[in-house]
Amino acid sequence: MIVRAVVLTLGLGFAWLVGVANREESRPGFFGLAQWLVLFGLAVLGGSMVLDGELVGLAVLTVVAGLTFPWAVARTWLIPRGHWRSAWFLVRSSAWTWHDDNRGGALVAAAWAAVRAGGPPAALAFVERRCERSDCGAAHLLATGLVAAARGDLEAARRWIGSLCEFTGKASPQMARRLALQWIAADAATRGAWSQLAQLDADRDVDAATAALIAVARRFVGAAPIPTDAELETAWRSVPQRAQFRALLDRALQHQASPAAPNSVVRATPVVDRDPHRAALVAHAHLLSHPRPDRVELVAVAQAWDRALADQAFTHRTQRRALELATRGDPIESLRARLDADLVEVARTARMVLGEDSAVARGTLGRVRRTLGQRLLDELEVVADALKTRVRTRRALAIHEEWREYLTLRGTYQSAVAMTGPVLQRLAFPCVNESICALAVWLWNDRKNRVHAHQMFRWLLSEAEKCEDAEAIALHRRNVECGR
Amino acid sequence: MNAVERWAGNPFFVLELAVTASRAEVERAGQKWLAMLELGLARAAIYTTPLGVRARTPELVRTAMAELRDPERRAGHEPWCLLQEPASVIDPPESTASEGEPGFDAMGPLQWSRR
Amino acid sequence: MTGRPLYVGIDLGTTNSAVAVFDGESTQVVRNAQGSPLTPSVVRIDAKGRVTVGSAARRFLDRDPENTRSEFKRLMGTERPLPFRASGRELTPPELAAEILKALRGDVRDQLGSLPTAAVISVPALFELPQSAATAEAARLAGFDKVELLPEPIASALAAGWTAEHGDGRWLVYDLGGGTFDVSLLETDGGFLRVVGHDGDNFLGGRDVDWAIVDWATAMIEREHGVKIRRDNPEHAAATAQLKHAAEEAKVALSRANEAVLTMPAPLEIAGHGAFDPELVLGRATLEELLAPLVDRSLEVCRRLLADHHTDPGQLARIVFVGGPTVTPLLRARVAQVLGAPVADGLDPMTLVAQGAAIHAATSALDGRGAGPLVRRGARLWLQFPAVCTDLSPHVVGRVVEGGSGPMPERIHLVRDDGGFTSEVTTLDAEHAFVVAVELVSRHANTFTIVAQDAAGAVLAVDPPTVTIVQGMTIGDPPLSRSIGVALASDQVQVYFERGTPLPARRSFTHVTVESVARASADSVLKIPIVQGEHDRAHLCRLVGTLEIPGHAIARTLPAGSDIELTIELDRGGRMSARALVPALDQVFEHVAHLLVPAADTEVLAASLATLRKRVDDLRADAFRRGMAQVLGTLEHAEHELAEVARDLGAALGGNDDAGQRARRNLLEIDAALDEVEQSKQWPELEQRAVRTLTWAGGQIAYLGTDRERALFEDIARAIDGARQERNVRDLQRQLRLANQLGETAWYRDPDTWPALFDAASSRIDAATDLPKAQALVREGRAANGRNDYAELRRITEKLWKLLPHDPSAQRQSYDSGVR
Repeated sequence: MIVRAVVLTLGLGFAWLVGVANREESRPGFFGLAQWLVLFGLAVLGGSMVLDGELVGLAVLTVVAGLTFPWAVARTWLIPRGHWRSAWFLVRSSAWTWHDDNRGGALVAAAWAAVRAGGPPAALAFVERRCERSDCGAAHLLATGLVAAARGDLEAARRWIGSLCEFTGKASPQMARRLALQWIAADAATRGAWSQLAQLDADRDVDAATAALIAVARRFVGAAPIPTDAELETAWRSVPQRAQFRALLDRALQHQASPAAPNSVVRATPVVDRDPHRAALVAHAHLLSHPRPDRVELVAVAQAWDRALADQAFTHRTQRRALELATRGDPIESLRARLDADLVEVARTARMVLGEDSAVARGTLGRVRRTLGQRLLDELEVVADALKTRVRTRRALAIHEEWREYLTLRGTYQSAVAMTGPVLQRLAFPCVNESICALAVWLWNDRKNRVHAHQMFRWLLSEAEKCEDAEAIALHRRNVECGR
Repeated sequence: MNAVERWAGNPFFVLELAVTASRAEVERAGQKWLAMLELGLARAAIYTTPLGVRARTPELVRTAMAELRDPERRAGHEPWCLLQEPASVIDPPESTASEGEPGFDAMGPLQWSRR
Repeated sequence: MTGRPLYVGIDLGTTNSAVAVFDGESTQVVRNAQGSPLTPSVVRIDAKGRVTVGSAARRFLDRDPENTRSEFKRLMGTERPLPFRASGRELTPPELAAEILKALRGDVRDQLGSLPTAAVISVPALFELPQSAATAEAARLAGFDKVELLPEPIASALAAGWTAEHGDGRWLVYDLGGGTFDVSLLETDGGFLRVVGHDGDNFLGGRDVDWAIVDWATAMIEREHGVKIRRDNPEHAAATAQLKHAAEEAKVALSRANEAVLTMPAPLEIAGHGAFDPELVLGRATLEELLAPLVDRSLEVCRRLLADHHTDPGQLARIVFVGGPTVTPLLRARVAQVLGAPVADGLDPMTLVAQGAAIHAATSALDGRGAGPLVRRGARLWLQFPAVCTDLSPHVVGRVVEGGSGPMPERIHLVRDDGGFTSEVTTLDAEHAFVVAVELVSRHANTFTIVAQDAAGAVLAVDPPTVTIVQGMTIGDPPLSRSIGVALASDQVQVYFERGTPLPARRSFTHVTVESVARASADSVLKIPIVQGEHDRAHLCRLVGTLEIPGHAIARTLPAGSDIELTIELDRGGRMSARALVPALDQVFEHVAHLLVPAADTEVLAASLATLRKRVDDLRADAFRRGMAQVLGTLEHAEHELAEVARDLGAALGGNDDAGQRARRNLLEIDAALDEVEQSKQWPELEQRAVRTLTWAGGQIAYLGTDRERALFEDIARAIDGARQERNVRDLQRQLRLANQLGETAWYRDPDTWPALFDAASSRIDAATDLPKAQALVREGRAANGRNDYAELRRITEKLWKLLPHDPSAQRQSYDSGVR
């Protein structure tokens, strides 16, 4: 009896350790086969014990089943119930699903279970500590993103998880990409960000639920290919949790399928008020009161103020009052400054795309766009400079934090470019290029972290091509070639 | 948002004064509101702005008094207090902007949120 | 509490201090045990540890300087303790100031029978937060429970305004202290006082008059005795000190007489000449001649202040003089004559500040008597009303907080004790509160009886039964003397409180971190520097505190781009506290590090002085080349100030901390002035650069560029034109950088470019960080050049560039700020 118990324990331990040791590109590899062979033997043993009427055999078979399909067991039983330690322990030996990064997979399992458990601090600290110590592949990024989500920092979670789809090869297990896409889709649907969801590639690494959400989003925003009713129904039927998505399907089916109107400058109806100053104030108040102001409203407010500032009765009244108060400055100029500050802030907070068309070239809106552009460039330079200084002084962070810093700078650059257009992009790219290139070179040469450095060079190359910066294109082509 | 605070904190709104208020009226109103706030009187606790009802605090009142003592700063606030009533009671300017499709909680069914 | 209130105001001066009390109607200067209204700010501790303060201590200033300390006010806010050798004790500047305050507090008790527990203390208009905090700390050490600080010009204006019978208008407070000159423009409108503006000269003071007399005396001695006494000669230090002392006395004597004799306590002893006793008689006419250049300098500052605020000197309603040196009739007459404004008479320039502080104590209801015994009569009222106010119709707001044994009051009205006014009868609201408007008699203490009635109309007793409101000039809440903000990583300042903000004040802003702070890392720390000053560039403002978020104190790594909600709070005494909430960590940080005036390290000061001198020289050469006369004037002034700093630096090297601090502050001021000069000529330079860049880059792109580059360059050229039209410096700099980069891209295609760049780089290899490697590269480069392999030559040249010294221009200036 004792001998059998020792053999069983050693066998199960060996099977677990073989799974843990697995770091192979292909599946099944040597370790995977070895693990399964041992597990097969143990299963036979367990089966014979059951046949002999020994109940211990059932326990052996259960453990063998767990070690044979660790991810499936964790995903079905442990993660939904928030058992983060067991999920982590089990998935560490995953030799099939997470065959090339079972450490990362185990952390994903632990982080996901922690999210389900309401984010117990011990679990989050456990995942974080392990992520800090690792080389940080896509699975680690997913785990880190889930930890951020558990803490309520969804902005950070979106950044982490959104970035991991850029990774390729061994650094990016298929399951990590699939889960990341599912999380991104679920998050976008929850926020009502259907346009963003419709842009996801439904053919690459997506599961049935994600594909269904993408189809619904395309229907809502009219993005091609717009799914027909039948296609929506089919997509919905393939989702395991389809009962819970019935309401969404019904909404999508009721939605009129029509292509989205091409982007155009929508002009707001002019505010009709006999006093332009009062009309401008009303429009301004509505803009500031709006929880999600849009560009159309901003344009309307700017135009209302342009009319007020062109109204001689208003300007005379304001100047006369300034004379009565014996002020020194020009009251119209200070009003303009305050107005610009308000509108820049609204545009910035709402991340409005102001663009570069003729509607924003003149008047209040023109000033707002220029001021916003300058401010975004100033901030970008400060962040880029801080990163450059840190790299120069060799103050290293954990790899996943380095990646986050890169994502932050990249995000700042992208949002600035999106808001103000390609002219700003050409001005902004040199400073971003210098800082990120310095970071990537440091990671590549000194810290031997080529996966992340390569991704950075790839992104720099794509941006250099957009800016048509011949020098940077040549440089980053060489850098990207090195990483292939 | 600072733009909202800037407008909602307009000294004329905080002190409930007309744009024509004299320096003495400013001091008098400020002193009255400070006294009422110190005594914790309910009618001093809030004031109305075009952006809705706001809480009145001693700091806001003191700052409002200082702003209106300085002619330069007072001149900067006057053009913004023509509108005294909340914007919600005024007809909004017409806009062609349309509301998007509301969101759907997909995190729960896919088990990405808390149990 | 019984009797009249006791409002205490203290002028804690550099040389002398004074205390005054205000009883609600008039001010009274409190005399010390020697019967003088002024107590010298001097502290002595003898070998037995006995502390002596005031004139008794001042007598030992020359005889026993190691155990007698004066002028420690200038060191307020620094952390260096001052030693008293005989007793072995060391006292910090706030502890020394506390000794003076204790003595003044004792004088009040001796004269008025009550030891005050609250007071208003005046501080110089340009005091920084650490200095204000140190002053408040001194008051606490001296036993005051409550203290408020008030800028000196406002205190003087309040005192002058309180007694003045004049109507509205603008007036000037001319404050000439021992070492600094401050001038403030104030305005009264409808009886309300407002500070319009402030200016000053940190290098001008009564001490300059004394030194002018000393210089005159040494010239006379040289002429009559053939002895040359030099101020900068250490061997002549004793003689110089004697002459200075005599000059101070003669200056005071000349305010009453037409002539004064410079009497020395002992004959002058000069090495090689023996002892001699010169007879020097200083006449008023001579003093006037000596004073003239100094007064003219002060008048220049006055004119600048008036011009800044569009005020003609002739429009001034009056001039108020403050400070010992303004006692000189010659000075008063000359200032009044040049500015063409009347002088406010009947005001004592030596105690005016203390009187104003006492009046302000009444405004702030800082009754120095403390809480008296509680006597209950009828319903208890909680009342709010201004103890002092300018408004003739203020409100009395009240609430019944305890009904007492009888019925609750239903209606209330107030009756003025002179019978001239009865308020409307007000019915108490649901909160048992009332708001009643009363009318005051101008410039009097107005007492009102509170008449409370029940529902049946019967009069009820209330506690307190009366209220007293004094009508007169007030300033409201104490204003902040200098703006306070946070230095951002971009070297800009996020202003939290502007100058003049009423205290107390509290404001919050959200900042974003620009770099990550690694958890548990000893060398990783996020700094949020808090600065004070009026400059929009952070490095020109004074650092008054730093809130730090260290790596060892955070629960997990704080990434770049995280929000930090920072709240800064100032109390009525000018004490600052800061609180940073980091939502990403769910942690709060409150520890503000080193809220002190930075130490004046003489080596650093000397280096700064040398740098600024070189900057002045460079700017002057450039200004001559361009014929910029106005800039030359500023530079001349800066040069004069640098000479003063050099003198202070010499004194600091000899152990004079006060001089070191003065040098530090003044170097910052000069730095700011030179910055302004540089900015004024920045635009013309930038325009020239724009022309050069467009010409060069345009040429390169036309010759070697692609079609796409030509189109891009046209876009950039248009953007450059736009930036020039808007005079947008930052935008123009960025566009020029882009144009330059595009030009370089085209230029690098020219086969002749890389040999030239390689030659330029190889000529600098002596400075390379790795010389052997650089030499090897040069050899490789020559070989590549020889076989016309320009691609290889370019690769080698770029490697060489990396070995050459880095451009230090990116050095961060903004106190290492980690937020934007």
